[in-house]
Amino acid sequence: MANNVSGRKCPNCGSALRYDPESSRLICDFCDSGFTIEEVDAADREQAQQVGSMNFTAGNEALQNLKAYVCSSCGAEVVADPQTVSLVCPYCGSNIVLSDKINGELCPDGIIPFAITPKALPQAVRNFYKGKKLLPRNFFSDASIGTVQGIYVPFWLYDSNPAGEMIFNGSKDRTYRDGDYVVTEHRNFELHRNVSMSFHDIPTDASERMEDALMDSLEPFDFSAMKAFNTDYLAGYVADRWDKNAKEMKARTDRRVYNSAVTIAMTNTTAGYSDVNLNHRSHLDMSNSTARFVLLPVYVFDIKWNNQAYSFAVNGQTGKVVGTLPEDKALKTRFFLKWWAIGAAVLMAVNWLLFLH
Amino acid sequence: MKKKVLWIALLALLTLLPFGSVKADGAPLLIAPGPAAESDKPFWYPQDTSNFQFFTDATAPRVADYADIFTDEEEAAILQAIGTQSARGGADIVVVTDSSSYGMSHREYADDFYDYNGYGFGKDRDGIVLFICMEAGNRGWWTSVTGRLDPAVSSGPVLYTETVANALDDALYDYMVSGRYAEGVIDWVGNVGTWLVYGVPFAPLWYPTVEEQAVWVRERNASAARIVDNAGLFAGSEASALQQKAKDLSDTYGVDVVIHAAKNDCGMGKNAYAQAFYQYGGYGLYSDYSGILLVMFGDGSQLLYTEGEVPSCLNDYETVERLLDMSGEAAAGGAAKGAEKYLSLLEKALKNNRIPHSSGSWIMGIVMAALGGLIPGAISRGSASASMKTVRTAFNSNDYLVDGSFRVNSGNDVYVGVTTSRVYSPQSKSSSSEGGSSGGSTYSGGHTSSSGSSHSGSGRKF
Repeated sequence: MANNVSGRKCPNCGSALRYDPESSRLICDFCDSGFTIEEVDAADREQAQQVGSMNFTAGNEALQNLKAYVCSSCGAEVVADPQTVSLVCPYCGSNIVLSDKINGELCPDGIIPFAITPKALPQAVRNFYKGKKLLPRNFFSDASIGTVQGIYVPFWLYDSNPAGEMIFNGSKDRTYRDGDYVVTEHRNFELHRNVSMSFHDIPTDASERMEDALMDSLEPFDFSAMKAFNTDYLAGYVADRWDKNAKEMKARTDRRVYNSAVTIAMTNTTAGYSDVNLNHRSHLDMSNSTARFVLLPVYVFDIKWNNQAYSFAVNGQTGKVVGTLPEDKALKTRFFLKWWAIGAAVLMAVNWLLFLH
Repeated sequence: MKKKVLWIALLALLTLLPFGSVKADGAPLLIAPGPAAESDKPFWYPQDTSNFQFFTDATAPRVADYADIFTDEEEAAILQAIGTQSARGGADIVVVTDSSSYGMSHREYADDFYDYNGYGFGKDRDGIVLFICMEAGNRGWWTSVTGRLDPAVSSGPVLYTETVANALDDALYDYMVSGRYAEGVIDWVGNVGTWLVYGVPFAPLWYPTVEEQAVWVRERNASAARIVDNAGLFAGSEASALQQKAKDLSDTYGVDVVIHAAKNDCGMGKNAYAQAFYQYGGYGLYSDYSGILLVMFGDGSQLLYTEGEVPSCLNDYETVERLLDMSGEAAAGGAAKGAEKYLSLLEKALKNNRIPHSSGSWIMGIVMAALGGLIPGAISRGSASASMKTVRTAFNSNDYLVDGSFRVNSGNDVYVGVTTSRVYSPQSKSSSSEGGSSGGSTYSGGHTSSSGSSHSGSGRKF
């Protein structure tokens, strides 16, 4: 079975091109040339007229969920799992875009190209380390950063328009004296508020392989930099297609929206009342929502230290680094003792000045 | 028939006979015992109070024992004491007992008894009456003063203030509860006499009379002892050592240093007692009578009194409290040890203008600081630990709210009911003409009796 594979070739030397986030151009590392996407498109059209479009044949289908593709540059067979839509040939380093996987509903509605280069990652990580008081001292020297992988992670962007009746319990209080008693009177109300609001571009990752909390932590993305999807942006990066559909992920998004809707409605409509809380009879219609499929740039890598791997992710657009760093227990104790000693000394000084002097 | 006519005549005669003779102005003479069976008022109560005119009756009995709690001998002794003390103090002293208050309060009974029976000296009817009620379930006494003794209408030197009332009532209480009525009343009469002469109920020997106070001119007495032990707290050698130390401090720092041990405050209040002792004793150096007096009372309490130029730390309440606490603790090992500690601390105050803290205070301060330090320690550690973890599940979508999209399409506030919570918090009581509470006595200042006369007074149940 033939699988469609596209790999952009240098119009000068035929080597594989990669997308360079800094210059927003396709770069040939072999002959050191650079081209815009339009220039490469034009060269491809011209070459097609001369030799016809290249076809790639599908390879081994023995494994149920894996497909093999033949690299157009070196002819090697490359196996890709069903979610992968872009990969790098492990033999020749050519960029391979599996275009048969990005048709129809699997075709992204947009893409935010990488704006951070892999070269900038070490500095970003160093900045991330800064101010981390409990980081083991030898972490810098002993830790080794594993392979950095630039991935276009599939996300659903939801537009949600919740509307409905929020009901809050609240009271108006007054306190007065009745003989030897202080009486507090709570006049209780149900506050019925028919509200509506709109949320735009709430990102929810659509990849089973990515940890939800890790992807949440990469927010925010600047969606104004969103581009129309073009496979050329995938060159040099791995890209996944979604494997959790929009309906499946809506519940997770709705929880976020609901929490915000309650807070916003409560904050804006219950002035003058105290002890306000949400009545369980509230109803918010969350059905009015739409989703679109986009690819967002993320670097992922592991840092290995002390025989343990710590996973990190970097927002490929903003450079924001997220992950969980190891804590040095001795440092943790020392840090506590340091601030305990400072606090005790300050209190003792205040005590001496005010009382013991 | 003849027998029946005789019975009717006898009944008619009994009906016409009064139980007591009545004065021309309507007030009864106090010769009939006990209450009239058919009246809700005591027999001495005027039949018509609307036209009552105040009068004085020097012959009215100063002891009216309607409850019959005194023997004849006791009554005579009380009368003799009253005669002595009222002559000494220039005010009427009356004691009345009854087995009922006739539905009146003790205060009303005492006031009315005094007013309607012509008691009091002079135009203002100066005097004091003690009413002892022996009614079952209502036993108690009330003391009522009139004229120059009443602080509501007089500003004279002898006034029945709350302090005086509590002192007199405290002394009387033990007698009353133990049933030693006559003994208690005689003691009370003596205390009243002292109060009338000195202005305080238990004036010490050094205290000037009211007349002496009126002409008293303050002077320094250079030979006055600096250790005055009226409570027998110090042995002779201890007093001598303390005297020398106090003198050394006075000479070195130019401020009189005096210690006085007293059994009690003589019903004057501790501050007033200390001031009186200092001033009437002729203490104080220089024109502003600079000096520091420590009074050690028999109940273990201490009071520091200062005048003139003294270290500012001794004008600070907490510092003085600390000074007294530390010397008080030392006094547990003997009054002399307490006084020595006091003089030692006072020397530091005079030298450095500060009183050092006890080791207990330091230890407590260190412990509190150590415990308080746990808070910044825990917060800092928690904050540092949190910064190591930047992976968190998104909880809301506030950042994605479209500006201006939030709308309240309709709203309705539905009242569902009221709930109340009541917390017991008694209001502080203040003294008023209707009465207040002070010490163990109920005190009433400046109330008006049914006759229209002003009285002040106090009383207790027993």
